Amino acid sequence: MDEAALIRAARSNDLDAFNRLVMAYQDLIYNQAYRMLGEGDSAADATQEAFISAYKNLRAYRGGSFRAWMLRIVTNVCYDELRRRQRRPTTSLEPLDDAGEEIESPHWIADPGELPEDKFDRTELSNAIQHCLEELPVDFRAAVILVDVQGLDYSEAAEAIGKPLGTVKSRLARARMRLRDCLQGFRELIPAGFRLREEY
Amino acid sequence: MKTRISPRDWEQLSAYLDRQLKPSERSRLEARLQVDPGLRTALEELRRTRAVLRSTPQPRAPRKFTLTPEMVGARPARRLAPALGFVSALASIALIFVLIGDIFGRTAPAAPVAAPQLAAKAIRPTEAAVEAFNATSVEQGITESLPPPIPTDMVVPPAQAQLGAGAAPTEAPASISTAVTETLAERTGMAQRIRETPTPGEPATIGPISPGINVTPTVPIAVLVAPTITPTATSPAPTETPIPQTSLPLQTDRQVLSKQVPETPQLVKEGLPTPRILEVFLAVLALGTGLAAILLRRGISR
Repeated sequence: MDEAALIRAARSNDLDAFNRLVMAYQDLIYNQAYRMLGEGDSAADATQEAFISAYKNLRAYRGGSFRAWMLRIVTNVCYDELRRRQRRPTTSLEPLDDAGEEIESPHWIADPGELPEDKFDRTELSNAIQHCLEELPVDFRAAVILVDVQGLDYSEAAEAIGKPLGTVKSRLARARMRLRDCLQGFRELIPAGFRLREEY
Repeated sequence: MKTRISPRDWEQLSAYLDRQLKPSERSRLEARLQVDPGLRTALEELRRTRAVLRSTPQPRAPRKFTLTPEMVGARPARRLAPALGFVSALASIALIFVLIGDIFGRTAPAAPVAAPQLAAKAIRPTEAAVEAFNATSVEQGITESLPPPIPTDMVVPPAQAQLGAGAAPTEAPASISTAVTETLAERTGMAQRIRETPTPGEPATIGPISPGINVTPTVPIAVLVAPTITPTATSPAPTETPIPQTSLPLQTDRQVLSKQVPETPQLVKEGLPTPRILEVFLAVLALGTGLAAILLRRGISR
C-alpha cells in the first residue's frame, strides 16, 4: 500500500495503517526531535506526542509532503518543550568540581571501556555538532536541521516551519555562518577532509 | 587577504551552495567569485560546514512509536463532550425560564386570583338577599325598627372584587367588611327572620324600597355561598341555616373563604408540584451533563 492510501485509511480511523506510516517515519521524526532538544528521553516523548497529535489531526492534512507535515508537527512539539524548559529551568545533572562549577566535559557520562577510538571520535564529533546546534537560536536551529541534517529542500523546509522560502534561505545562511564559527573550536574532532580554514 | 563578507553575501553563498539562486543571481555571484578569493574561501567554509552537518550520524529511534487504541482512545469522548456541553447549556436556559415563570407565578399567587371570583360569586346572592330583605322589611313594616342604613360607600362592587391581580382586592374589602360585619351582626336576628319569610312563588328580588340599605358580603358570604340559603323566590321551602346570633367572629374575607371554600387549597396543591419537579429535573440535567463534559475534556487534554 502506498503512502497516500495509508493516509486515506488512517483518516478513516484505521490505526494499523497509521502505524505503518509511524514505522516509516519514526527515525526521521525522532532524529528531528533529538537534534532540536539534544536529549534522548525528551526526544522520545516529543516523538510519541507528535505521532499522537498527527493521528488526531490527520483530517487537517491537506496533501503535499507528508514528511514535511510530520516534521512540522514534531518541530512544534519541540518548540513547546523548549518554551516549557525556559519557564521551568531544571538543575543540571552534570557533575560539579570542588569549586562548585560544572565539569565541562562532553563525554563525562560515557563509559570509555566500551567505545573503540574511532567510535569515540565520532561520538565526540556528534556531541560537538549537537553542542553547536544548541547554541543557535531555535528558529535557526530548526531550519539548519531540516535542510542540512534531514536533507529537505527549501520548499519542504518552508512547509515544515510554516514560513516563506525567503525566510528559510535567510535563517539557513545565518545558521551556517554561526555553525562555522562554533565548529572552529572542535576542528581536531573534524575529519581531515572536512576541516575548516586549513589554509590559516 | 581577508575579505569582509556581508550577511547578504553569506545568504547568496548559502543559496548558491544549494542551487537555489536564480540564473541571473548565480551568474553575478560566479563573476565575483572569480575575482574575490575571500568570497571563494567563505564559500568553501560553508561547503565544509554543510558536509560536517550531513555527516552527522542519524540516531535511530530507540523504540517503536506505534500507537495503541488506548493512546488515541479519547476520540469517542471528544465527540461526546461538545454534545454534553450543548445539552447542559440548553437545560440551563430552560431552567432559567422555568424559574422566572415560577417567580412570576408566586408574585401573583393563586388565592387573589381565585378569591375575587369566589367573592364575586358570593356577593351576587348577598345583594339579592339584601334586596329581598329590603323588600320584605318594607312589606312587613319593620323598616323603622332596623338600625341605621349602611352607607353606600361601604359596598364592595362586584367589578372591584373581580379585579383579580395584586393584593388589593383581598386587603381592601377586609377593612370594610369588618365594619360591616359588626353592623350585620346586630341585624342577624333580622336576617334570620327574613330567611323564614319568603313565600313560595313570590319573587324575592323586588328592588329596594328603602334605597339607603345596602349590605357587603362578609358574614353572609360564608352563609350564602351554601346552596341551601340562596334566597330565590322559586325555592319552595328554603332550608334554615342556623346562624349563631351572639358570637359572630370578626373575620376577614380571606379567613372566611379559607374556611368555607375548599377550592383554594386544591388550587395550590395542583399548581405547584409540576414546576418544582421540572426545576429539579432541569437543574440535575444541567449540572450532570456539564460536569460530564468538563471531565471528558480534561481526559482528552491529558
